[in-house]
Amino acid sequence: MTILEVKDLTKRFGGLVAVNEVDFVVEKGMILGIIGPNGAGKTTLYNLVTGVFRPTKGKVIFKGENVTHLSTHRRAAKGLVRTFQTTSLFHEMTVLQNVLVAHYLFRNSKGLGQLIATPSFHKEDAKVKKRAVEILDYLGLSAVKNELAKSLPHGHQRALGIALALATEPTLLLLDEPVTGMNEVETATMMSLIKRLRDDMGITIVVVEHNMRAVMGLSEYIIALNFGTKIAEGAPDTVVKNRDVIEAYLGVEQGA
Amino acid sequence: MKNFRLLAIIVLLVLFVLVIPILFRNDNYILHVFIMASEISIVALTVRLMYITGEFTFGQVAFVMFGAYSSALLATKAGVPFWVALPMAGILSALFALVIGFPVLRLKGTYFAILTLIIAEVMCQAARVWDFVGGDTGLENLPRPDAIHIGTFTLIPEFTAIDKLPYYYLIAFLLILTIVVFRRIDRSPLGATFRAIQQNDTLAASIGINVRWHRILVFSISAFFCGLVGSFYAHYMTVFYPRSFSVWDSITYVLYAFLGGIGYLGGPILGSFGMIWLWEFMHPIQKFQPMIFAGAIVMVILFLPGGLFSLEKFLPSVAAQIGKMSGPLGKKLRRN
Repeated sequence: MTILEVKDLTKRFGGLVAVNEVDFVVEKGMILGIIGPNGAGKTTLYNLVTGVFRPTKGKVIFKGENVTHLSTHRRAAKGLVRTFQTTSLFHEMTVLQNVLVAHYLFRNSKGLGQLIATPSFHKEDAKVKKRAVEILDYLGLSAVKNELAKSLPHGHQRALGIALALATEPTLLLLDEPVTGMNEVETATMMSLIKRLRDDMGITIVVVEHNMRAVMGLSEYIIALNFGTKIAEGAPDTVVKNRDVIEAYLGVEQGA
Repeated sequence: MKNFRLLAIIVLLVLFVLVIPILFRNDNYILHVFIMASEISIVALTVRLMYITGEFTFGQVAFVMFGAYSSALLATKAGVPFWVALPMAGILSALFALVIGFPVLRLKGTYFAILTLIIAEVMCQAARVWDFVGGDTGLENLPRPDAIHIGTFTLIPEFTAIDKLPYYYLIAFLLILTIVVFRRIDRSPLGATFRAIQQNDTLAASIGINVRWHRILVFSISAFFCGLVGSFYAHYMTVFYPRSFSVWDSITYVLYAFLGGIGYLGGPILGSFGMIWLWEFMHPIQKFQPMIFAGAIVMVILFLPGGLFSLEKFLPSVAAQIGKMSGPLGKKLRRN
């Protein structure tokens, strides 16, 4: 079953074409890797898929519905959720408070209704707290749950970023460079975590990553971008052997 | 620490609703200053509420003004009694904020702050030339709040020009109501959502929070309480002019909130009461007010970035020091 379909997606910033007529399809339960050198348009592609930018041309279809013109929070409510390249957290909150606030979509009570403490509100609140603790347990963050997010080590901050996304109950999770800046141990932990998210929770995953070993180890299918254009796609071992991909990463020998 | 805080709140509450009104029962000047400080505290608290979502607003006087005009016009043109006009003024201000919030809250940060300043000034100028709302001479002879009797029992006494005590209790009630509601917001998931927006609005949107809608919501809540203050002001003064609501007022609300400590619920209240009493004590040198104000702001920003209220954390240890010296109270504080 197709979860996400990107058709002819294009984004121009003035004269610069950041993403150029990109098509791809994400099937349910797969881990899809997106690779490409710096400035290839990977992050812009994410911003288009999650609704931070509106495309110049093209369509984003999520679970059979055209979401091209929906705002970010509406897409998140449908289960299309991302994490960020830089550690993007609520830095002045504790780890637990971060995950609690990320249960916004999970709660039925919204707005002023949250000011009146009805029995159903208390019940919901207890449920949210229980779930938040479960998510922290799952990600190995229980021991630091009362620390401020800004004081965490890098690996824990990245895990917390994923915890926030998990709290929204995503069906498709877009990870933006989840292991960048990590040492080998942290990278291995994060990779096994990403696999578990798919295997345990059935979350479909798209991952943009610079660390080739990580992205090759994780993905079942890979798309390579260069200058905003898709230059190759397929199984990891065929994509790395692709001539265009090697050229994009290593450059072309003069006169070859 | 928690017991100490509770004790402090109880002491302040008793002072505010019992000791001051009894001591100064017949001193209209002192009651008037407390009434003004309470009015301004409420507005300064709404500045803090806006700040929780990350926005500075210099336009709160516009909502106070809207509330004052709504309430005064309802009372004089439609004969609506004050006790109906008061909540109506709050609701109308909130609706006004809702309507202008849609375009205005497309902007953020400095741009939003400047726009709120402009809106307040434009409304003031518009009221000066609009005869229906009294033009430049404003509205006068506004009715005072009516007494309410149930049988022989007087629920609400007569409000008169010579006795300020009923007004004191009315604004004290409104201030306490504001504190209770805002504290509830602070501690609810709604408050957490507001803080999330302040700290990282891109991330907030990515976890499904409708950032713009929450900004408009907080704008409306703050306008509601400003509207209540405006209505109170109109029927307390019984006369006002467009120029009663100047941009300078808006700026002082922000500065009082800042001086007191915008990070604390008690901060804007401390800032408002503290500064207003300070001005009263310094009447002889009032022409230097802006200079002193500027100096105070610079000092607080440099040496006390959390505002005056951030000194609160030293209170228990100070109290304990005093406690070591004196008898039963010291013993009690030590136990806490």
